[in-house]
Amino acid sequence: MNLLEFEGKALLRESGIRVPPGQRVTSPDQLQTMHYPVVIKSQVPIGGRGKSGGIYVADTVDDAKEAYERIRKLRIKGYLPSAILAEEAVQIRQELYFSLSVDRRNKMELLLFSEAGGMDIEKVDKDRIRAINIDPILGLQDYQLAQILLHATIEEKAKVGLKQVIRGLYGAFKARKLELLEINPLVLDSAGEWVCVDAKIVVDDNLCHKNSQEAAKAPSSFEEATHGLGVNGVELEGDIALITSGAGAGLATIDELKSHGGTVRAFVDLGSLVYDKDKMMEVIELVYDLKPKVVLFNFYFQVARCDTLSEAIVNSLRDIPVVVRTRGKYEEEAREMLVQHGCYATSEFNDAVLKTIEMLSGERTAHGNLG
Amino acid sequence: MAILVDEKSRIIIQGLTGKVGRIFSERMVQNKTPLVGGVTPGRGGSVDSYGVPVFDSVREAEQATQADWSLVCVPALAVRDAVIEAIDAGITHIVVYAEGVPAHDALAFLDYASLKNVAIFGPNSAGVFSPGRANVSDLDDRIVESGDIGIVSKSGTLTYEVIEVLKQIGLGVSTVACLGGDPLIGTEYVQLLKEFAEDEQTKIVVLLGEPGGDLEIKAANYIRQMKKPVVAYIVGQNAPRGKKMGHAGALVSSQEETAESKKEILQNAGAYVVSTLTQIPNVVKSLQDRNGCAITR
Repeated sequence: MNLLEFEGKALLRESGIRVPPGQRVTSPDQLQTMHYPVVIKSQVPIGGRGKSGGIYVADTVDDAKEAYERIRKLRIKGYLPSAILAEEAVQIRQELYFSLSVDRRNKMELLLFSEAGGMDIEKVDKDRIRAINIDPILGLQDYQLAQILLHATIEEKAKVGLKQVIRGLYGAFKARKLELLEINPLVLDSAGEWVCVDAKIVVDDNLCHKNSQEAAKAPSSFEEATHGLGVNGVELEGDIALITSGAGAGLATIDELKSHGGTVRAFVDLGSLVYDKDKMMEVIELVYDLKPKVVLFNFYFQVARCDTLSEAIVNSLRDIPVVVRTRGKYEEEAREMLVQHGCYATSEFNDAVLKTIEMLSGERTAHGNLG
Repeated sequence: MAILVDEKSRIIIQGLTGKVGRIFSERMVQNKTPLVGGVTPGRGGSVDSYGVPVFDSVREAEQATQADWSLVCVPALAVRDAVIEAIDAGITHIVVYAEGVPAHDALAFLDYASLKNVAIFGPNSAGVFSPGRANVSDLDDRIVESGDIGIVSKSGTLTYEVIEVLKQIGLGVSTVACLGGDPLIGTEYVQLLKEFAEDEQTKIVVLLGEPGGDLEIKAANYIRQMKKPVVAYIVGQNAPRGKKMGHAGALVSSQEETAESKKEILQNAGAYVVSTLTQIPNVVKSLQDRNGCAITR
């Protein structure tokens, strides 16, 4: 999960790392008591805010209030701000890029450092970026830190402070098990202190507990709604809704459907929800709401029961053709129940795929006749 | 001979008496997988519902049973500790079944395992299974027959389907190994391809991959020098870019990591690449027909 800047900075502050004095603004009155100039920053989950007018440096309270009202309503790449952050402006003497992340390919931690701070790191020349893999068991070594800073053009006194800041950031990265901790820019201010002027932090989804505020927010998309029920759902533009258990089998089913000219309206991997009839029905309802032309259920269970699934299916039927492939415990009972309720039921993967395609062309013909 | 796990393996389950552990214990006992014990701290000295001895720690289990394999069936947030305990006790092969292990936890125990020369399958692995010998996976013993096809896969559910289509043309499996669907996993394709290359029972290897990561690309470099034929299927050729379509590991971060690109790289390395699941039996069959049982390229 990506934290917004103000959430990320709160995390840094808790870890004893310096960020600019500031606050989340919910009423313009809060802007009255700050030390000016103040930076008004839109809190959106996407980069490029500066260029889109989402960041403004205000010299006076009136100026700041005006900017607050303007930025509050400013949509950036489709996003309205979730919050507005007001911070006292930092006098910049030098700015750096710094990040820590999980390096999947090398199975190590990765530290990136560059003197080209404040720029999009993807656009910085490779030879201006220092990359160091850190062994997750040993942690950041002194020699590595020395290597990173050896040829950097930074005053000696500031280097000492910078080492401390990097140690602190590394500590927070480890303690919070962060997937990404990116400070860009990391700024040396006029008082000779290092300050994290921006923060992009990704926390591990496996460690996130949805807070009540988030749960209360109405899900706005199929993806979010299915995610809220604990499954992965993807909405696409095609005809067939595919519901499976397991990522690999699901993708293989899509490949097979496409090889016969089928297109996918939605794909849902029920995962471990296959034990919970009621939750499954909620997911199925969401899928039907997308009005697919055919729904294909493709299930090959090793542990879960087919009859739990078939009950969920027959209890949520609508006027949309349904093809079900079941393998596993109680598969025959499941198919019997499904056939009784007018579904097409089979034990074979390929049969299910071909039948789905056939129903789809039947659907097309039917509409053709009406037209 | 199958690879990795067989009737001489000595397997324990960590989390034996838990919800998941119990299911595996019952199945292993029923199907004569050499399950020699299990660990549930505080319940040492007893036996579980299927007569399997319970120990308080992996070290005690190892001392009493000379266990060399562990199936870790503890919740995701307890996996790190369980794996490190198993490594410290001298276990050499570990299957991590749980999905949702934090990345930093995986980094740490994968690093420790590689330093101690321990093979980890997973996290988020469906396990390893040599039919008729030993089953340390969630595959149902009844659906898999012994034979000469080796399977190495990231996805458990896709593996079931492949076993099914091979069975329909009368082919069984030497060993099936699932690497796991997470972005950070231990054992990779290359190690298993090496084992399969030297295994007499295995005549053809089926490699099942997905978009994201570079493991299939590393595999292609090894396939280049292999004599045994490798049939490869990369799922998700039709998955839209930038959408999470399943495994956390299947997120594409560079052009090279797409299914199309992996397919091409594998093809150029000499693998027999298919585009759909239902093409696998035809290709395997034609490879078999070409040289009878002793297939070489």
